[in-house]
Amino acid sequence: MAMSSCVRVRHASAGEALRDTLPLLIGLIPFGLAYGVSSTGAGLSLFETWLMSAIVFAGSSQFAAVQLLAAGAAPGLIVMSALLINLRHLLMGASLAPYLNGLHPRGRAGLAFFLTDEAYSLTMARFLRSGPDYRYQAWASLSIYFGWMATSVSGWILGRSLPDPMSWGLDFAMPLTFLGILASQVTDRASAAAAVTGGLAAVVGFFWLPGQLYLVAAAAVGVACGLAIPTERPCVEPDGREVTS
Amino acid sequence: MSAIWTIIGMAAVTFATRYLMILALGSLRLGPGTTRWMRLVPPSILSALVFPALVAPAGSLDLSLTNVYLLAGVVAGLIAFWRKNVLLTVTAGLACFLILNTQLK
Repeated sequence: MAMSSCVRVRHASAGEALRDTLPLLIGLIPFGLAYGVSSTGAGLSLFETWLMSAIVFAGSSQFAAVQLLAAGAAPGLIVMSALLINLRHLLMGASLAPYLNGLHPRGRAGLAFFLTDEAYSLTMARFLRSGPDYRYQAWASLSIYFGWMATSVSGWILGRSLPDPMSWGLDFAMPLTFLGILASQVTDRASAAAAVTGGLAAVVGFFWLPGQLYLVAAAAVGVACGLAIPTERPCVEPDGREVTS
Repeated sequence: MSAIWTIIGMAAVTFATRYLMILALGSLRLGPGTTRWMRLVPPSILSALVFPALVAPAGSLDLSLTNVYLLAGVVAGLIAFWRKNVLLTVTAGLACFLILNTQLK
């Protein structure tokens, strides 16, 4: 095959993307099972459990939703908490956007639909290393998508057939996964302050505020405290400028 | 039936958060202040989800040494910040949880 361009774009094979995704998929198993099991506790049918994984495809907000459904919360509150929990996608989208500019709008919307913490961290690392590779992102995203649906459905079946599957610590997989992601998000004193104060505010709010309002309050407290800490850490703006905030 | 509409609503807002920036950027410019503010949202929300799950796993505050969630969570937290590895954090945390759970029962 002749070299048609001076810019060498190396596309990943599916195997390469899948090999990188595998460790995250294993970490996803208990989380997906836990979601499926708790969805039986919320009275969701197998179809509803699968549907949420297929069209929402956002573990933490699904987990929060089934807990709220079990507590009999209003649909508006559940949708609002999904929005709040998923606000972090704005940031991931903002940093990915410049890399996806060369893609057809439909392709961009497609990749956006499958954006998760896991796919984002793999893809961004890859893009920074060797430039945009949509196929890599697509393969990583799709394997997480199908893994998530499979473990959700398995969790529902498990929840229906075993007396107390949660005693295996499946519900603990969610905070554990978040802890793991949190560790990589805390990169300077400002983010550390945001994490500590946000967490403490959440504990206070958890007992004093109705519903899931503690998440909003905690996020506000965490961001405010983080902003109060001056940082020297340079951060790269979406347009490529490197600034010190 | 109402669960299905809730799920559709969740899907709509979730897709909006994923697509908005990818759609908007290129025409819209973000100031450094905005970027800085947004960078602080994920750690705040993630720890807001983690802390209550560890100190109040059954809904009421439990800071005792019989709270397996808290004990295993502290161990997992140390591993998380030491290795920055999600898979290792989840496996070590779950292993710790299961061992403590059988020991304390």
